[in-house]
Amino acid sequence: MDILNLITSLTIMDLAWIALASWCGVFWGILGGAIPGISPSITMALVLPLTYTFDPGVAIVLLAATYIGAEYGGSIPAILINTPGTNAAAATVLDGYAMNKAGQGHKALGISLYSGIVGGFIGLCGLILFTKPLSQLALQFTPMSYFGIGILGLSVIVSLSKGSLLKGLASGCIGLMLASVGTDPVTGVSRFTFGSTDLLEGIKPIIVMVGLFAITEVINQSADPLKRFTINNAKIHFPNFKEKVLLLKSQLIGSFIGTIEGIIPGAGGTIASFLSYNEAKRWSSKPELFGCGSAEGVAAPETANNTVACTALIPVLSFGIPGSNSAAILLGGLLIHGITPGPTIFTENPDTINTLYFGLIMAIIGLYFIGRLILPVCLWIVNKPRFILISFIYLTVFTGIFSIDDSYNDILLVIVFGTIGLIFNYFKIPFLPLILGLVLGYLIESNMRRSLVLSDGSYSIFFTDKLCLLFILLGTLFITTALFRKAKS
Amino acid sequence: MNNLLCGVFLLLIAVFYYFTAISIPVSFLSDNFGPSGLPVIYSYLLSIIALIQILHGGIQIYRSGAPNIMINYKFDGSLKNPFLLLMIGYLYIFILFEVGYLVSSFLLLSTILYFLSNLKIYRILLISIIGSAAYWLIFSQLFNTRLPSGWIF
Repeated sequence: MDILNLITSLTIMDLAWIALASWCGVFWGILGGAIPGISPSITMALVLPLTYTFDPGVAIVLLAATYIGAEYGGSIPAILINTPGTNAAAATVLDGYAMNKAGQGHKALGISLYSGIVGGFIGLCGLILFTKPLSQLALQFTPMSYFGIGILGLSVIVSLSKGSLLKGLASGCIGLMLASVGTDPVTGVSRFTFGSTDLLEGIKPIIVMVGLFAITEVINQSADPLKRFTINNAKIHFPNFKEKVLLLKSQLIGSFIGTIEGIIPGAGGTIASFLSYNEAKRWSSKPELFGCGSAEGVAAPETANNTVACTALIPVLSFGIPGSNSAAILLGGLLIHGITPGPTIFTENPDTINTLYFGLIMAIIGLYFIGRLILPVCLWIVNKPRFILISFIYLTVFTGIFSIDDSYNDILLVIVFGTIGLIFNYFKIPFLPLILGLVLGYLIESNMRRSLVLSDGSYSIFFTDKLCLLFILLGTLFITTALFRKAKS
Repeated sequence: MNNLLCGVFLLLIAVFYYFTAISIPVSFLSDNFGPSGLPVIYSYLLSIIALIQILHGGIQIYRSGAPNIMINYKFDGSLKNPFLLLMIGYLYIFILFEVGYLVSSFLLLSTILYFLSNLKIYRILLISIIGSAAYWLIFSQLFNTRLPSGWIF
């Protein structure tokens, strides 16, 4: 009703400005998200200075729409060139790229766009309807609960380990080891940095992902550079009614997990997309297709990370707690315009909130049209001969990675991880458990040690905290089910 | 043979990581667990996995007879190009530092295209010039990224 009141109270020009801001934001976001190394937060930070002179509502819409566009844009290189544009798109690589290799890239892109729109709308509904009640749930989260979430996330490794479970576990363990690089979260002591100041902040997951996926793939493909990808259809295939029905279950799973993860500050789209992938596989009637080009395997993580793009605004608006870098930039945008987030934001700035809601609706509608315009261009590019793709992917990766921190060491790390990727390929060690371990390592260690400080070293605290216990039990259930399936197959 | 080698590879990582972990200095602010607590556990975990993997590989070899030392991983074609591309990647860092973004990007594109494509030299040069200039414009002007300056810009 509030949104309807807002729409009737604004002039056509005001509404046009909001719509324009949201579509520009989506376009810019897709562009930034699709370039590996340019994260959603960097893409948002680049438009932040432009918003100083804007009306507060329009400025926030521009930033939020950029975030939505960037979260979606990350899936494009994940599907087409085996390189996740954002951390949250890592789970999309598995089946998206497998579909592309099977000549169904146009279908995978259509599914990811459709799932992005579905996820966006469900996330937006969650944001509008449940912001107040859900924000109370976020307050219940203690360090123990975060530790539990980390363990739950790690349980996905079992189902991500194609082939040998032992090698999957080893990969996850190496990921956790890599997460220990940098400054210790409790004492501030530097670990595994070998004197390098660049490593004090730790190893960024995007560098590892780009190295393992993009560099390894490009080097593999260079052995036969005159070949072309075989995407015969240069138009994207948007799912038809029958396909939409088939994707519904995985999308509902993705949006449910995305809603819950979005309201928890710090949990983020990466965990949501991995958990959704795992659950979609568990509940699928054809789990054997996962990892070999399953449409559900693309739909679930894409729905989840686009749901998170909306529901992540819940803790920002309700408490002013940014759960990620992107949320922090959005928070900065609110503060620049004199809007203080918190429970009173809904009574003190109702117009800005309603403008944001309306802008997000326009952004998700815009995602459909802008996505459909951009994707054929991407398919056209991927249809070029391999030597052209290889040379330009190499340059894109190096430039994108350099632009994160202006660091030469980051480029070196990317190539080192590319080399490690080749070794992993030789030994048939899967990459994704390593990524999961790397993403979750810091969350697990920092919260485990904080919890132990709170309990004077007693481990019983992890079993007395109800949320933590719930997550650990869920993790155990996931592992048992996955092991049972593996044994059965 | 692959599983056995994989186990040895993992064990080497675990051992290296363990010795680095135990040399982490302990701070006065340290909690009971300490900065090396979890890393040491990770190294134990990886060692156990590696040993099981070695055992698994050993049993496989014992059952199948003579070990197969042949590389079981194949690139799509020859090994020359992948090796070359990896070397170009490592060299790029030094060239980028010395000559700046625009020239190093031109060199990167033209070198890769020269070795991998069947294009004529003038087309390679044309693609490399347009490509490096376009990337410089996109990243430097549109995304406002501070790219390394050198011979040009």
